[in-house]
Amino acid sequence: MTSNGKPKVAFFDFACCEGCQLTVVDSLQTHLDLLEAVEIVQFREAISDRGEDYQIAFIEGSCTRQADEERLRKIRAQASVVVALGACAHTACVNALKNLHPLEDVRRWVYGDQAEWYDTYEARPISAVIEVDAIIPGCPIDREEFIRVVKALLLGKKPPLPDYPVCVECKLKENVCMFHIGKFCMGPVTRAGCGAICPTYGDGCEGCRGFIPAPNENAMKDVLADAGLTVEAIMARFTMFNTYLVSARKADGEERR
Amino acid sequence: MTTLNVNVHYVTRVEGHGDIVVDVKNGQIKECRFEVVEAPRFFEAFVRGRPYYELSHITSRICGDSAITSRF
Ligand code: SF4
Ligand code: SF4
Ligand code: SF4
Repeated sequence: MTSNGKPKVAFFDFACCEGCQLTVVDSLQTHLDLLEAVEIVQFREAISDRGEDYQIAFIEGSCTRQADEERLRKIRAQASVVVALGACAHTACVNALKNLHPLEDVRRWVYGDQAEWYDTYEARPISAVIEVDAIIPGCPIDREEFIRVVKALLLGKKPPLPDYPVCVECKLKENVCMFHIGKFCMGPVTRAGCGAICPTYGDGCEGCRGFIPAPNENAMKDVLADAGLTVEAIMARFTMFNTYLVSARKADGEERR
Repeated sequence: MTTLNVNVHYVTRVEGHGDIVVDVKNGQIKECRFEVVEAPRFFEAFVRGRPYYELSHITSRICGDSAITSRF
């Protein structure tokens, strides 16, 4: 805590696009009161300060190399609360698409002769390396959810994380289901919290918020097949944002967040 | 004569991690480097074998600040 009793907050990024941090900046513009309640000591994308004394750490991005593990552990050792900010940190997001290919090929395709200059291994969520106290899913995060999570943390409560699917929010919005207009949607197995924004704007959910607990993968595959998708196209729907989760579920046969 | 040693351990307020190293001795630049130290993500590999309709949705995740241009 600072001398004025405000919790000190820091933002960190690993392999990611920094779109979630940008969404944070965006949300704070309309919630200036939150800025009064905390002291931001480090936020490379937005400020020049780099304080190392903080209690709440928001971590964006995936762990994709050895050096990331050390940095993650250092942050964990300092922070009393660690929040995974966005899909890259939560599920490894599109970063895990490279896990579908042999790593030597991945490096060679992109960097050719210089492949060995670039250190990398399979992309993983930060929870594969350190304990995570709260999650803000999504690619990018939902700005209102970010505010809700921060408020809960400031009140000392566990931030809410919806365990029901996007379909619930979609129905509450009274949207016409994408499957009724010849489109495809991952809403039935995807964690809600975004207000079903994609179907609301006419596009099927791509699953960026990760799966609900115990998703019925087979039923989802049947629905997509009945709607006309090939086996390859169905797998593509599952792996676009969730390669890591699909492989992890396959590996240990149990549901993961 | 100027002697200068600049070592910016990551530039702030931008997307991406970059360090700046400048070494000037007696008015002469000995070293001037911009180091891109962030983790490579391998987008060219991400898009291999994916359906065409996914591509712009994947590449828009190259950079959150310029998602629209990254799409193309
Ligand atoms: S989750 Fe998406 S928006 Fe957020 S940093 Fe990762 S790629 Fe960018
Ligand atoms: S459009 Fe998608 S999220 Fe909405 S009800 Fe249909 S399947 Fe569910
Ligand atoms: S509708 Fe699906 S793809 Fe769209 S933001 Fe929500 S979880 Fe992500």
